Amino acid sequence: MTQTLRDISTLFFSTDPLEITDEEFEQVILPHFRAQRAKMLTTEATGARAPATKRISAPATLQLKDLDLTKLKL
Amino acid sequence: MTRLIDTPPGQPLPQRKAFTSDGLQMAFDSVSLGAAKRCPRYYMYSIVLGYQPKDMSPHLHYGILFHGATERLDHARVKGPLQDSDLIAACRWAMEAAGTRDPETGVFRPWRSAHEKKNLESLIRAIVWYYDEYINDTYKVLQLANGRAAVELSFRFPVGMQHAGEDYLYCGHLDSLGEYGGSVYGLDRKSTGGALTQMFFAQFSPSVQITGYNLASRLVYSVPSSGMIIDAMQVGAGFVRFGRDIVPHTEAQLSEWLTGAMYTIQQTQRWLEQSYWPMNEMACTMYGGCTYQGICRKDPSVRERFLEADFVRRGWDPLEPRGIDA
Repeated sequence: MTQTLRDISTLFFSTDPLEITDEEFEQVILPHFRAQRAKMLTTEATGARAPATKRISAPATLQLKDLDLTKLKL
Repeated sequence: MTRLIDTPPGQPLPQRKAFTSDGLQMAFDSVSLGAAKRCPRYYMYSIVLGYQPKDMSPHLHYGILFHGATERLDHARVKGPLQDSDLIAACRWAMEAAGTRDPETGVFRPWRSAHEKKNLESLIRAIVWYYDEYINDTYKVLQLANGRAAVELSFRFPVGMQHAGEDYLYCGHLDSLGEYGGSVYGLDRKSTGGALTQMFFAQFSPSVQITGYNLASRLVYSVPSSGMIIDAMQVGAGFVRFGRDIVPHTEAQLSEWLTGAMYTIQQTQRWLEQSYWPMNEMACTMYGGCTYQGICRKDPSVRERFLEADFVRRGWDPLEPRGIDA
């Protein structure tokens, strides 16, 4: 059975790196950054300014308990 | 992973290997020698007394993590052509090392940096792009006689002065030694938020760190290096750019560096003997502003109170081992 791959937001914000599978690295994380690089190289080769890159945003399911508030100053 | 030794508040720093029991520093690295050259008072606060900012700067955290990831790639490269599995291992290591794991529950919290350029996403981007940029690198890391890669090479050598019969030492770690264009070079990796211009590379000569590395690579290793390669990376909010430059030094320049190091080391002994480390007020606004400017700005009678409140005590020890094998 093929395991469902988690999206990059989940992998970056909510996942223990030791639990990220090699498949998720190969099919989600590496392609994400390689696509950015390809876009930048292609754009810069034409002399144009490198395009802006969309930041990986926190998943909608991120909860308060997932945040590290130990250094929060009120 | 670092040479910082945490100390609880109100406690003296534990005895460090690089210092005598009287507090005289006998082994210097570029951090401590650079601190002494910058300002005696800065040296006293940061190295002698060990007052460090409570939170590690995202720049330092980022730099340490990127070094660790590329060190792992260097080790893999010596064993054979790099593959994506090596990249995955380096990325997974970096993601785990960047975050924190609760020692009791084992729950992991990823690194959450608010910095626009130095954060987990840009770190992994840099590692992936570095791998792709240099997959067929013409710079080949040397293999040592024991089969290991010439990576994170620790060195130490006597500078030619003694105190109570003991040699003063200069020590440090070279990122790597390798062959490039038929010659051997040391290599040091740098990351910056600014552009990789001629002005950026010009800062590495003269340089306490780079000139010292150049000298070390010739004194300590049997294969004389032709200079140092600065392996630089510009980190942007959504991109990374790479560039390299070679920093050569003549024998006379290296000798001059050593003379200057000996002079500064003698000064550190004099400051300790006199229990006085003067301020170099000309350095307060350099390097983005001194960490201790807020302390030095206050009346001497209250400085210690603010140091205890605003900083933590972490002893920097140049003789503590570093790297994968530490």
